[in-house]
Amino acid sequence: MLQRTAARQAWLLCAAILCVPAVFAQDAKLLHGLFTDHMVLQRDRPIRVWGGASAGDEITVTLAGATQTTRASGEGSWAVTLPAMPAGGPHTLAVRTAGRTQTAQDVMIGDVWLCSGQSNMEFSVRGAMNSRAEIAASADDGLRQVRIPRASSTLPNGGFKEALQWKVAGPDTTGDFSATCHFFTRELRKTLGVPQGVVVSAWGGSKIEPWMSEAAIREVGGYEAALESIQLYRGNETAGIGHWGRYWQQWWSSANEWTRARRPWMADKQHAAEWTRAPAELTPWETWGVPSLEKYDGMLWYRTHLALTPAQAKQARKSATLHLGVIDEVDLVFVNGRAVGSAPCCGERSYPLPPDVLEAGDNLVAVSVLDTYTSGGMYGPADRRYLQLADGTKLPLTGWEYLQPPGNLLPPRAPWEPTAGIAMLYNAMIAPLGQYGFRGVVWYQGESNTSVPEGRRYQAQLKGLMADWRRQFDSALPFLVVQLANYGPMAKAPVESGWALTRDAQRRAVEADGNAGLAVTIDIGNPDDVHPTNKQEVGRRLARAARHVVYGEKLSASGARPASAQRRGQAVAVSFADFEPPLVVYNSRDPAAFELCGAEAGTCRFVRAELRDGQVLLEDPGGAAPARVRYCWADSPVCNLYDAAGLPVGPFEIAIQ
Amino acid sequence: MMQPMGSRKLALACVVLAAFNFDAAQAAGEAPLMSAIFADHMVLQRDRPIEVWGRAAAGEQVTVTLGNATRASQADASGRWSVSLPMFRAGGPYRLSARTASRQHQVEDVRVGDVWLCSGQSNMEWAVRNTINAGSEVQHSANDSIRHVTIPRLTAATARDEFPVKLEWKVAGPTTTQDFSAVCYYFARELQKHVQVPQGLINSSWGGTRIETWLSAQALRQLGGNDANLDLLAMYGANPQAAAARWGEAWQKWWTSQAATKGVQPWSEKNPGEWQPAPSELSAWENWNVPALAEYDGMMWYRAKVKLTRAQARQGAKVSLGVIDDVDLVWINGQPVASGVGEDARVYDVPAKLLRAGDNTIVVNVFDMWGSGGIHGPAAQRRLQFADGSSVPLGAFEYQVPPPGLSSMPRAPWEPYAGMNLLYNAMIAPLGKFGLRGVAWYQGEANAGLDDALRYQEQLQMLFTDWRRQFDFALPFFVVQLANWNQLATAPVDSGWARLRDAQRRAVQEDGNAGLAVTIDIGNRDDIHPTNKQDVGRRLARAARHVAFGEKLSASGAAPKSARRSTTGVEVTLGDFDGSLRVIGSKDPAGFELCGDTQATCHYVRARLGEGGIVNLEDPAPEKATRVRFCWADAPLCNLFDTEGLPVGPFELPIP
Repeated sequence: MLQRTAARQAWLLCAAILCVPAVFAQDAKLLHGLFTDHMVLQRDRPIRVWGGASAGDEITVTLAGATQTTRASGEGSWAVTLPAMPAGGPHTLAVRTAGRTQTAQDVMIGDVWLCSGQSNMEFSVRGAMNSRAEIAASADDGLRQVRIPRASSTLPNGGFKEALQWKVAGPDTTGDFSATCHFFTRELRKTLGVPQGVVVSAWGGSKIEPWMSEAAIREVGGYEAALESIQLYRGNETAGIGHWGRYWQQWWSSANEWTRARRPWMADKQHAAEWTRAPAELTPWETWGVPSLEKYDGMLWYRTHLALTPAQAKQARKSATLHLGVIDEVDLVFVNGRAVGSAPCCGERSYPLPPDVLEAGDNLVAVSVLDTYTSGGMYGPADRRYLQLADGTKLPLTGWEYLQPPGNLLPPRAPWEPTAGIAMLYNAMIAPLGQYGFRGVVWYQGESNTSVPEGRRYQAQLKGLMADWRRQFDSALPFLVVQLANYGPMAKAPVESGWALTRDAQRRAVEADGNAGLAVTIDIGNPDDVHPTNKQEVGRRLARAARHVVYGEKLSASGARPASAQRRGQAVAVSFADFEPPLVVYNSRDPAAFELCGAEAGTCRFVRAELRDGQVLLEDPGGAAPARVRYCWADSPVCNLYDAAGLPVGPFEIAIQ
Repeated sequence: MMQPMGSRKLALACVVLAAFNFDAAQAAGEAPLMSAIFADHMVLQRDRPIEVWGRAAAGEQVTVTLGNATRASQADASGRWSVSLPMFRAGGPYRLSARTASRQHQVEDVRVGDVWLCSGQSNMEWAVRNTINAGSEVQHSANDSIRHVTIPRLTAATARDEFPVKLEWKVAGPTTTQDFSAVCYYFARELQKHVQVPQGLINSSWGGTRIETWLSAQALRQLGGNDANLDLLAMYGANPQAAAARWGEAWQKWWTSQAATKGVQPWSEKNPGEWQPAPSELSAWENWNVPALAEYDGMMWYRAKVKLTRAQARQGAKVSLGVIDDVDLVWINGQPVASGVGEDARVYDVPAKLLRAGDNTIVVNVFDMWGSGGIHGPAAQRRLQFADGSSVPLGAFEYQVPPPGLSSMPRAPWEPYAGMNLLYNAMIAPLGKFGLRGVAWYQGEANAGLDDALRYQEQLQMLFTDWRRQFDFALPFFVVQLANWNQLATAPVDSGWARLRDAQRRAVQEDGNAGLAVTIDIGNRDDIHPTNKQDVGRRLARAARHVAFGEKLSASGAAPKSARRSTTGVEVTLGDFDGSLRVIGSKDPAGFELCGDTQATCHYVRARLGEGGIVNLEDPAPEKATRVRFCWADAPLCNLFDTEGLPVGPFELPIP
């Protein structure tokens, strides 16, 4: 098929050539790492099983009375397809060659879910509400999970470096299960009964871009420089960083008026006075006693000078390594204006320098540090920051100054950052799942894509990700998306909220897809905690969406969605669809949190709303001609419109017809 | 049972209640000179005379030194002594020492600052480790000036003047803070930004407990209606067997008065009802594979027979029943003989002359509040043990499920959750005259039944009075109003939780030396233990800054002042807030109701926020309205705040 191009090809290529020998030869396992004791295989469709062996080995695979044979390829990889099987078990999956046998015991056949996203998907049952009782009472042979260990790669992998372990739900295991997916499958068990398997492949703080293949990133567009940089980086890290640095400098030079006038990576006499001496003992900048840094998450520049004698410069041309100690989180390091180093959070940094970058006399080392969460900066003992020359000489780097850019800069993220780059997690945590059979995907991600510009891109990205993963697994793969919960400041006036944008993007992506469902959670988050503990209700709502989207039950998937907004005299009437009637207002006479907006930004105003005959009528108080309706539009909105099933009407923006 | 962890921990209490023999240790002169609360790393209250007390040999001279101050005292005939040291300003570290001619007791690293007593139920017990962002909070918590001591869960039938255990003050830091009371800790941490003195925290709380158990006998008598139970509890302290017998008679009276029982008396031989064999390996009844019991919480009857020889029947004996979960009442040969609570193994003395040669019948009524229930544990534990060391196993157990339709069972006054003054006696009284700057109180979830809540204002005011009698007549109280939890309402409802919140608000308002921390916006409707304790602490600290430290800022956010009818509806005036009021994320405030005299007349109304704290409620017939309600449900959704970010809390206000 023409469409099944890039991702599939990349995976097959990798499985066949790059990774299989490394993975399979080493531990001499016949079966791919997913196929282990207590696993769950997808029912009612042909079952793909694969692995590695010696080139040309004859392979026999048996499962529940079915047998298939094949021969390992010249590279030692093999795959068979067993016939579809109904739910049941336990079975034994066995693979034999002339000399070896490997089995996976206690294999169940049921429905299997791929659960991916960021920390709210990783979030374990142990941290969920009422966890002690939940865990103590969790024993269920039909609920199983396996966690894919955190890993990243610049190229798609065919297998996993670490051994995977499927676990059966019980008092000793459930504490570590993904709470969202445990409660989701537990709820499904009530209506389906069949065994439920969950593959958890998630990483806290990850953006959506690293979960997409390079092909998908290319299709969605907007990341051309990053794609070029990582291609270079794969061959030669320093060359990739240099390329990325030039792109980054371009971004800086057009980010805003202030940045345009400055080049912090150069000795710039005009703005020298703006730099401040940093404390001699570098600690996280929050602890320096500088009010503007006390709670600062963002970018801070560090710089220092280093004088080299002609003899030292000569040594440096042979070899020089820049050691900067711990940097929390992301750095881009310039020496004499050239980008020489960049690494993901948060370990000690050591960068080999290109031979021609250091000179006799004065050299400038400038480091841009981006911190997005709690403590940040370049810190740790002073003796961890030095330049090491070919002859072993260590020249300490001291006398650091800092510069805090005003405003909130959103620099492009280096493509090799595991959780913020491109394809890094897809390559190491999704691609290796190959053609494993899944009933669907549960996706709980987006918190790290909630700046306003990111919110605007998110719908296309999520659409791209769904297409991408369907290419790999199954073109009919359903997606269940958890819409972001309420989190962050409460708004007293209409606001442009990145969180609201991302939620609306999730809603639109699902609605446009036709094979996806949305779990609205706008009412069960916590304004002060990005990790709400009520994962039980998230699971229930996901299960409801699955019953409709995946199993075809006649019930509303997600609660009321906006169907249309129409002018009606001086008022605007909003109607809803796909809900259990009637709509209700909790605890009040009228629905709260409706806005009317003109076509331009900044024209939104709160309006009075009334629920009448299943529609919401908005009173227009005047102002710019209403072109859009917004509901529940803020980081942490307070909204009170629900349907009879107890599902909240989620946030939306729609155009007025 | 509301508290998942509750019943298990009851066990501890029962063990302590039964095993305590601390007075003997004291008398023997083994215990430290100073009372248990005086321990390393403690904080003493600044700017007032410092009371120090303890026990020594009768008549012994005791000299107490703190810093440069020394005072002497003589122990009385019972060995009790106390001194009053002069006032200290905030500071330290000091050494506090007490010595007699023969002994010395030193307490190191003592600070002088402000000391807070933090008490209530599980939301006050709730540890820092279970709050939002706990990992980072604990990691960055090192602070030599915040110290916390947990009073263990203890009960006593009569007021004690000492803790039967060693107490440990802990300094906040990465290895300790996780176990601190979160509300108390975040309160002190916030307060310290404004009041830079050492903060001492005494956490004396117990999940699932009702307010009655935190009141003294005197206070309960003043409230009225508790005399019979108080007398019974006093009797229990002196003679548990006699008290259990009397309690059993009262309990039998309740049982026989129930029409649903139809004359069946499972403890008797006359009409014992229908018994069925229980599984031979007694486990929690949820595990018996009896569908009706799979998730059953409530009451169950058990019966076992045991044949004795004449020689055995004549001996002194104990009946050992193994673990019982949670509450039990035991009959032997038709006589009530013992009652207990908890999940520990029960061993009761058998009254003399009750056993007989031949068949003996043992009947146990078990009441399970939450989770697994029943008589369980190893079969070997279920036996009669005789004075000569021999024992006889109890025969096969039978069971009988009580009929439906019983009214709520009377609860023994020695139950820590539902009983009388037990926790006051063991967890508050022993604090004596310890110097406090104030009390933080987070309790009420267990009193939030519709009828219970109507009594709560008076009870809470009595608790203020009661504890002020003990500690200090000027003791300020900071009350955490219950957070949003449980049902959302699509129509006006009466809610025990709303009533209880309003009782808290009124008790504070009428007191004049108390502050309220409103938390109606930061709970979790599906979790009675909301994890955002940081904001609870911040709001308590704000209340303390106003009430205890006289700062000019609003204590609790906007409070209702008055309501009056207008031509178009009702005008409500709110006051006591800083800045102005605002509606979050909407045009108009949600959550307003107007009511006549009955619940059925309550209806939601449109509200408009005016200037200066006025909210105009639109109503076509304002003359019928006699009450305004705001935010009135278990888990209301309310959007009216002040510019300080404080929510307007729930209230009901009469319209004159």
